[in-house]
Amino acid sequence: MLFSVIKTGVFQDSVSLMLLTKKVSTLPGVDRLSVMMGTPANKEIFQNTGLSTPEVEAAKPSDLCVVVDAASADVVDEVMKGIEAFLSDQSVRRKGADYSQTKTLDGALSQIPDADIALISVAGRYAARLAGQALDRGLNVMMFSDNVSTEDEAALKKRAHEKGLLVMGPDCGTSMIGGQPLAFANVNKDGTIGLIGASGTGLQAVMAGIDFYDEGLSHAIGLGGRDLSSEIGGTSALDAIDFLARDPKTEVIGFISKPPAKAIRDKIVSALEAQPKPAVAIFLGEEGKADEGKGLTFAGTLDEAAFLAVQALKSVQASKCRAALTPQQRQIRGLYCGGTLASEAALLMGRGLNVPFTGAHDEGIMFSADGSTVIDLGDDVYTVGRAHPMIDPTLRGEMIVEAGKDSAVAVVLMDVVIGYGAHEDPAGQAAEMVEAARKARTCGGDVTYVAYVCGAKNDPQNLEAQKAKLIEAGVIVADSNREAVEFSLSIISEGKDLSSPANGKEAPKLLNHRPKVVNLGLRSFADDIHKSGGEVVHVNWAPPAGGDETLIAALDRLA
Amino acid sequence: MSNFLKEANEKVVEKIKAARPYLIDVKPAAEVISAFAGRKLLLHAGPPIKYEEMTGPMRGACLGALLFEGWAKDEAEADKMLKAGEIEFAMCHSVDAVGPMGGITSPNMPVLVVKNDTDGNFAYCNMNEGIGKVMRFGAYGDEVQTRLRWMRDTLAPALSAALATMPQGIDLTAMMAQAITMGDEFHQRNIAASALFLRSVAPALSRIEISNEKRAEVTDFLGRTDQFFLNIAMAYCKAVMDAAHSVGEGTIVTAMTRNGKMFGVRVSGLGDQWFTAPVNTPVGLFFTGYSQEDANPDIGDSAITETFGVGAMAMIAAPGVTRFVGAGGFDDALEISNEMAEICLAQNPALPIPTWNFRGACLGIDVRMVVESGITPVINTGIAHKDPGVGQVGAGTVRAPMACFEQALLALDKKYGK
Repeated sequence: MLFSVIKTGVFQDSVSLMLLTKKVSTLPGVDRLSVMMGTPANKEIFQNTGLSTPEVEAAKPSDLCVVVDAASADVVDEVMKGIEAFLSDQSVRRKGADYSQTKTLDGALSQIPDADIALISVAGRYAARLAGQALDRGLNVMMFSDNVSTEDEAALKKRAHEKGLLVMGPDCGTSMIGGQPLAFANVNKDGTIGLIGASGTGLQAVMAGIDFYDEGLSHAIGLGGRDLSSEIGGTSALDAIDFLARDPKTEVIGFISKPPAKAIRDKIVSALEAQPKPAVAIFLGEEGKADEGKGLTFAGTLDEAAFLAVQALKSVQASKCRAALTPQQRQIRGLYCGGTLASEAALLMGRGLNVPFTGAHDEGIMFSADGSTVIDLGDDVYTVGRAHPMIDPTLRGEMIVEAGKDSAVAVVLMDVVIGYGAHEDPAGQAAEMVEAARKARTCGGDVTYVAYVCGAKNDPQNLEAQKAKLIEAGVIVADSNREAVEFSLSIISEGKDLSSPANGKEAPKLLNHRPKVVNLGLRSFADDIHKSGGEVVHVNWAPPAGGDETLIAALDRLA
Repeated sequence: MSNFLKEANEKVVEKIKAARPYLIDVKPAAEVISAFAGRKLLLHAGPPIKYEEMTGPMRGACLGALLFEGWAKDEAEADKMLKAGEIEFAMCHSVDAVGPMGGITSPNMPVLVVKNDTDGNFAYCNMNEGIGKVMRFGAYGDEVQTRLRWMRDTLAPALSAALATMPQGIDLTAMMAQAITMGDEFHQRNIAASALFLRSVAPALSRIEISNEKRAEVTDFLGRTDQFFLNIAMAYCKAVMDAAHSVGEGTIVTAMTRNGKMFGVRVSGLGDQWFTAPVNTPVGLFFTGYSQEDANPDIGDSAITETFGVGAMAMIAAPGVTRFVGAGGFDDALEISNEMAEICLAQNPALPIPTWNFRGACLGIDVRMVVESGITPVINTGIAHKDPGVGQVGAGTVRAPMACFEQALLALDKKYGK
């Protein structure tokens, strides 16, 4: 037998109600049970599942409808007790929250007048109207909500574009703006790669991939799955590319998409090629393709996209180092403690500078051409009367300072070898010497210091801590000796100037700080924003005018 | 449309902010309200209502008024006359007046005369009788009659004479600005304002020609009647909101009132129409021996204070009474005021609230914001016993019914919607 109870004025989001339904369904005597708000869509579900009653039919969208299929009315009392307990628990948790809460968007804006983003996760039928209200109030919008019509989406994005705002979504699950994770997002290191994703987990996979390479993100802008369809025309994608191109922090742009409409894909590609920063794009289903001189590389897979973005970032780094050189600075000074590492460096330098590898190592000089040298400080000539440089790096330190003062030196390349037997803090010593060299330099131009740390994660000096000391001192730390040499070579060779990446236009306001958020809908998103250290006001949203369509239409006419 | 309504509402808000009502006199109602002339008329609270439909407190007050006026010699005769339709009724609001609870006002009851200097309009309200067995809550026995006569014969002339010596009367805006910083919200708590009022009339009272015994009675009454200022605040709010209503456009609520059966709402852009719906019953704390069962449904013109933006709208200003009116403490009071701010267009710079970080009291309830948000105004209120003759049994809060605002919204749509 069906029993129904209607509770007015207790709006709850669908996620909470699904949890509640699951919980009280286990009560003894309950055959079937459904707890939903009395929206038209939910009433249909009640009908389709044979759980509709006249009371439910008469309910408003702001009414909580409880329908129990049970043998006796006593069961209903137990169910209602369970529901009351759940609701009062919700209300206690609501009161215990550490962030402000309101019932309306305007109420939230009176709490944070300088809010940047409305994060909307309300029922789809109300989401577009709310997004429009947010845009009217100068807020950018992230719509987690789905079931928004294409027409509404197109209109919202057009309006946002005209106002210089961004609409992420609908159906956008992932974003991270200025260090603020929104909805489903990973905690990435702060960095300079800016991502745009028309795909939630695609974006997350690239975010995670970049983290794997120890690089960070400036922003990750979600678009929602439909943005690149021909109906929407990629409005938000193009705006996001423009935003990242204008953002001074972003140095590399990554674009991630499921297969888009052909015409839109071409628009995106043109936009990525037209802006000055190196870019990587993946359109799932397409093959990878190297940069054809337009600054855009195509990845075939998500991991490749992450890898290529990190590579692009390195080319920007090299370009910045190049830009800081005087014309006299043409030389690399390789100062090695490890013989084989020095030997490998010599080999690679020879290849890079077109000098045949001889294997000579007179006086520990492994390589010498065009003024660039690689010296093995472990060679016998340097260890007479002093310990091996892996144990006592004093001499190498002095040579770092000498090289750093040299007006012809562009790069000082070094190895830092850790593990048992080695100096207890070789990176600390090297960092100290780099700083001393910088202070001692009197001629123009900046010297780039590049290091490879040869060690294992569990070494007593702690690999990560050693790397961190070098990075702190402004040393570029490569993941291998090869990478260190190749990076050094790229600094003294010709290359595209990527050193001043912002295109001179005004930086977008949304991206120049950690954004403040008005959260409308799912409370857990507000909890997470608060937990992540962000500023948020949560709106305990309920359908406008209790969901009455006539009144909503009147409100819109009077708006 | 949005710009037209925005500008119209701004005009209404400006009227409210600019208003400067003064208490200038205390007079028998019939002397200042012409509607009384030549007939047996009673004013009542709320939207229009017939005697038969009135709830207990208002019926009791009607009986009391007939006895006070000498129109009937006893309760039975009064009831008969009322049932026979020998007495006419008009809502207080229709004659620039307001009245608390039953709001029953008869020709010889003295009323406070408040004049809004900015617009030149007047507003009237009878005087507060204190607590216990009082007519506004439906009591009408000897104790009530004795007090009403004393108020007519002693209190009113004394105050009238005292006010006559004050060139402009009393600047109520200044007095309320001071009292709100002293913990009054002007509906449930008026202790500070009542004390300030006595402080300001005392020198004048000491100089008027009156027996020392009467002077002592008057100062004693004013000194112990904590809610004396409520009725002054009501007349003040009525004067302000009538001036606001005169703009004739916009979506701002300019009056809320209840008659025990129906709740009525008036809107700046909708002329003299009242949008009505059945009242809710207040919930709160009760005097020993009484319970929620005894509570009369919502009644009185005193919701004019909330219309203006004080009372429950400014709950946060009066931490002292938040428990008494059923709210769970300071945090709940804060939540209520924050919630009320979400349905208001502005805040009143003349009434900064210290406990609200000096935010001004709410100002300008917008019908659209009420309907959109589902938030109805909260009202602080005394709770009358549902039977005539018993009086006040508690105090609490009550919500205005949403249906009033929904009807008003549809009427606004008809007038302004494309």
